[in-house]
Amino acid sequence: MRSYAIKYIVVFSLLISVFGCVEPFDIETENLESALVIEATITNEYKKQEIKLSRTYALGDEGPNPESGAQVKVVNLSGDLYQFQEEEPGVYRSSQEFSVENNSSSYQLEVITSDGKTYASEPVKLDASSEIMEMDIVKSTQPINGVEKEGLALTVNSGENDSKFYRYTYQETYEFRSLYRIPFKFILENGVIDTAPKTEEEYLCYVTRDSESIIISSSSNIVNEAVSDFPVRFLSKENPAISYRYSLLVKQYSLSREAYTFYEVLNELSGSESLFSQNQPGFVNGNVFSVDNPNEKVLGYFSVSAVDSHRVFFNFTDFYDRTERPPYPYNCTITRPEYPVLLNAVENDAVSLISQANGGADSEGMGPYRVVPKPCVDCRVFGVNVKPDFWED
Amino acid sequence: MKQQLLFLSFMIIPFVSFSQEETFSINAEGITLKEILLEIESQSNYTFFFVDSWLDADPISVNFQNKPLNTILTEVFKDTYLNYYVYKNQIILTPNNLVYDALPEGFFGSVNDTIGNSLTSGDKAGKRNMENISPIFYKGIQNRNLNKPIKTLSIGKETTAKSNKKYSLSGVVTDKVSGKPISNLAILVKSKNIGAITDSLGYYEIKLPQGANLLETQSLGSENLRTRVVMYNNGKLDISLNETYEELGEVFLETTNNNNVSDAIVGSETINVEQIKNIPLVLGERDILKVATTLPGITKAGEGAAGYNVRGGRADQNLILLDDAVLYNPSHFFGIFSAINPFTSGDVNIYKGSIPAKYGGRLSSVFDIHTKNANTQKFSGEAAIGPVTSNLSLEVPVVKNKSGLIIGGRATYSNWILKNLDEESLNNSEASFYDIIGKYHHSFYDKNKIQATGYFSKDKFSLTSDSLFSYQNRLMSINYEHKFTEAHKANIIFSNSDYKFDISYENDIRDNFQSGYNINESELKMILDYELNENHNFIYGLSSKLYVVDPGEIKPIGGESEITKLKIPRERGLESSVFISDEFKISEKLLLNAGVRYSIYAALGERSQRIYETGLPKSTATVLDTLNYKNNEVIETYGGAEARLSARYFLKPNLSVKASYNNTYQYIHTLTNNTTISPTDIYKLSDLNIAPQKANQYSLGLYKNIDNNLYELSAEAYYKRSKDLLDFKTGAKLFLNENVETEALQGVGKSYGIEFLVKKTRGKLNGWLGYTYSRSLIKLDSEFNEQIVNAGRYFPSNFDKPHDVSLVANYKITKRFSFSANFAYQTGRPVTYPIGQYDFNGAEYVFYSDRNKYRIPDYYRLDLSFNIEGNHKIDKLAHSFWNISIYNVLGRNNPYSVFFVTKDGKVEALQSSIFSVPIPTITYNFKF
Repeated sequence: MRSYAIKYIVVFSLLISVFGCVEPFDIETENLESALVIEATITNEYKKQEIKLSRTYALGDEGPNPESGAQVKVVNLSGDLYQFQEEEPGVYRSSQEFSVENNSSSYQLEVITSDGKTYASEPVKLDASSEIMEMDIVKSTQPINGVEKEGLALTVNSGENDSKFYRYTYQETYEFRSLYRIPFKFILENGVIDTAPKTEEEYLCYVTRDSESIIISSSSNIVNEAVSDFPVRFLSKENPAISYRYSLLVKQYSLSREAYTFYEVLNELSGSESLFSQNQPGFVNGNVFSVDNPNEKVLGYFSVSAVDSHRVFFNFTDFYDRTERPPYPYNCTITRPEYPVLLNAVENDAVSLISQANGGADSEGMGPYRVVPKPCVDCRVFGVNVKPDFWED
Repeated sequence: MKQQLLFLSFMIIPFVSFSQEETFSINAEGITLKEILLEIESQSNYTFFFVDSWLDADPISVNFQNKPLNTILTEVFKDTYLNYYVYKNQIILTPNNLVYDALPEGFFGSVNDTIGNSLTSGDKAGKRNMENISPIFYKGIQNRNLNKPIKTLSIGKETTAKSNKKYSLSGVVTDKVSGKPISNLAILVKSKNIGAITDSLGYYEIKLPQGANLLETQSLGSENLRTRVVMYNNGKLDISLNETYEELGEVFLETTNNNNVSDAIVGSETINVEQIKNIPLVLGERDILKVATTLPGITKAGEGAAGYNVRGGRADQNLILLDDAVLYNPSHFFGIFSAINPFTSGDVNIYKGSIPAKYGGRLSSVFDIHTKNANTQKFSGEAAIGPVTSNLSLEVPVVKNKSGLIIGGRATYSNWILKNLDEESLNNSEASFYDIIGKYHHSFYDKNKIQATGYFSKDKFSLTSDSLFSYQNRLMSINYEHKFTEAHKANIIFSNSDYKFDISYENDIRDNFQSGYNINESELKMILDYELNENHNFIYGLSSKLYVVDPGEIKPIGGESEITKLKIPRERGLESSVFISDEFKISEKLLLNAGVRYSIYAALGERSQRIYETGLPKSTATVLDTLNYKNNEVIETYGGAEARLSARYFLKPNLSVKASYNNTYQYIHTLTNNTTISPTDIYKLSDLNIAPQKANQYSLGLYKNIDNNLYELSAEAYYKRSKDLLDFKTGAKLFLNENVETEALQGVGKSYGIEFLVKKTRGKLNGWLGYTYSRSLIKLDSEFNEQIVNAGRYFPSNFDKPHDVSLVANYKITKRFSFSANFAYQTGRPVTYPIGQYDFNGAEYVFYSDRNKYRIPDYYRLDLSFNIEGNHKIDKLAHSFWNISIYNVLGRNNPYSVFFVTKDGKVEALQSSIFSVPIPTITYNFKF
């Protein structure tokens, strides 16, 4: 769908390039507001709850911009008070473990920043539960950048319960195997290249990644119907993550309708990829506000959620033939660099050993060793070589 | 009637005798009037006194058996301008005048019984009832300082029937040489502040008081005529004028003459295409709608924006009619050219304040554009050759004096230009447009007229080798006019309009698609115009319009494409109305135009509609049920009464105050979340979940003309409230969205402003200067956070430009050379800036300011043009006209939009402008 916007832009740029011009201009940054960003979801898990505070930063600057030195507390309107301590810059954890109880009274967030300004959330209440009944892995096709791709959809079926709205986060972990399994490696002795047996695992690693987008679903249309077969994660058949064994841990957070809409709008805004934004941009209202100045913008959301999690494992060969494995995610051409070049590369840890070269020059070159870029041999470029505790082979 | 007629001031005949009951028998076919009179003379001892030329030579048939003289004479003179008077055995014929045999009441100051008795004691044939008779006396109007003697024409036959104080004079004004009707000619009686304008057929109708009136005509390009007309009754006067070029270079808008002071409508403008030819051009195109934007209250969001904003209204709130059919997209090339062919257009009436009751369906304004009628006398044409476009129109008489066809076409050769540009990336591009229009009109008899118009326009862009974008308008209308009587006529109009756009995308990758949108509407409308008497003029009628919308579809091209086919189901709606208005002259000073319109809209099946939980925002999350409606089943109806009231009060003869109140409904909405309108915007009909938009407007104006309308001054203030304006949530996606209501917000709008306009209508230097202060605000508030924009406060709309100054000036150097300038200044329009970014849930997001909190820099522009009229030899083949224009002489880089790109991880703010350098153009026009 996005291509329309882009086409339109092309048209427009033509007009501009024929008769007009595009030039940079300075926007008045002195008076631009800096706003507090509150990322707070407390759950029904009994644990040290976590709240993140940060601040907006200028366009083009590197983030994040944590907000330190704030006093953070959550009050239960029936009288409980939970203090939060800053443990890392901008990350505040509750001093004691606690969980939000279902259908108890409302919770409210209060933040006093280091400059003495007070912020609060609207009172929110947990009146839903969250349960993942099962997860399925099904073959499916889905559009990726407008092109239909074959692949696997990891779907969630929630239990029949009170919540109609969920947000999902996931953590995926997968086996990563280097393209070449070589028992020897380069070593440097007195500035001279030599080889030695490997002492560390470089072939089998585990890569873990967190979700980086807002994934939300609703069991719309009919009241109280469970969310069924919601694709939390779609993995194209060409995705190297599923080459061997793959695991996905899904967390399902219940949302209020208001929170759901908030995330939905945020999603839509960030989904606009075109240069000339076709969407009407604007400030997205959450449920947090400044107590002192109602006109001050505060970003983010304070959510009280029920949470459930579920983990699945699968192998590539459970669904496809081993000959169909995804391509290796790196261009691995074997070369024979001449010694000075090789020495430089080995010093910089850029290449790995395949084997000793035999004979004279060939299409790979004329150096003494056959080498490939390091990511083709050492899986630690991508992950860690320690098997996670939860891993089931 | 060439020579000056016998000057009959008045006649006093002291006594009348007419006692005979003599009878005559005349039975003849093909006999002339004169022969009848001679026959009577031969049968009796009467003698007729007349001038031969007064009598028609056309043979008539009569059959009188033993009829008294006065019966016969009344009958035979019935269809002539002749009156007769019987004095003893002499019968005196008089053209026009009645011979009064009595003095009018009060002639000698007071009436006494003696005179009264003697006046009424006559024989019954000569007896006249003094009541309701007002004889016409006129003294010679002094024709000072005029070389030519003023002709005096007598109109109508004086009757003894109840006298109107005013008679209607109508006729057609034509060019003496070409025979073409002259439109927009002002016909005035200056001393009495009466005026009329000829329509596109050259037809005029003017109400003149009894007696002598010094009639003057004024127009550009035609000689000015002064004629004395003596009104005895309703009558006809056809005028033919010599074309002159004396008034060359005179600009514009002047034709409404005294109307700006005298009519009851607040906030209306008329632009005549003939009169805008000297205004500086962009890329060589004369543009009627661009001229409109130099008038107070009408703006564009920017160069390259396709729509017009009238008095703080959105671009979809304008009803743009081309010969009664709706023109959905009035622009070519992203608004740089208008889609209206300047050569075939006659004039455009713009109603931005009080909208007459016969129009409806849009909130802000009506642009009523008329195509001119073809010359029915001789073949003629006009052509223009410009740097980007060429234009040709032809006028073809079909039946002489009765019917003609006008056709016009325009095309661009921008494709050729693009191919030859140095910029390599554009060589494979394509950008073209064309439009064609044809109109046929036919007058059957005096009572029936028919005209039919067809129009088609197409724009096409292909700027990368794999994409093609096109949009097109197609419309037709048939207008049949029937006159029941002089005072009562009906127009039956059928029209059909169609607008669509298509996007296709083809490359080597497997995502080729074709996508499009289509709206079609058909309307049947009947308008009746009934002039009850000089104090009441009723316009009433009814209309019904069917909309059919295909809101969007996308389908794969070729077997390889992996795009999923999607078609949003068709929408249909029926909008109907009845209306009546009366222009009621309460007194000489107070004129009221009161109208009411009742409109009703029904959304029709076949369709399915979602039912949402009441009291909650509409979203996928709050859907309760989905209802399916059968074909033609009524889904929902909306409607209401719309008042259209306006009044004028003369404070002094050339100073008036006017006020109006209007309310309007709109059932069709543009879906756009672009900050400016674009050709990919789609129209959506009201349905179960989208309520119609409503507006109330109050206007007040003060108008003054100075020095015989040499200067026209006006100040108008307005205040407008709108309800259920359609806006969209932050981040909404609209095209190919089956449930657009989930993205929609309906808010309230408020706009107000004051508009000042000074026009100098004649002279070497003429033109106008306008200044407008206006605001256009909208409020999106709700009890739900996600529906609140800018904390629920009023904020400026996308086209809120408080200060607007326009100057159009024309200076006539000689008869052939003139110089024009056009200056515009506007406050920069509001935009939403990204003011930072932040991290949230593991991703980066942009932090935006409040909606429309900032403004782009102010807009100003000066254009100049120089016009050279060809020489004035009468016999030459074609009449030519050169225009040399420089658009944006100051080279001001007016930002059209601002946008933000991420470049190497940095966000950069850029502004784009359409014409950032002076654009010179030269255009050659010729007429044949």
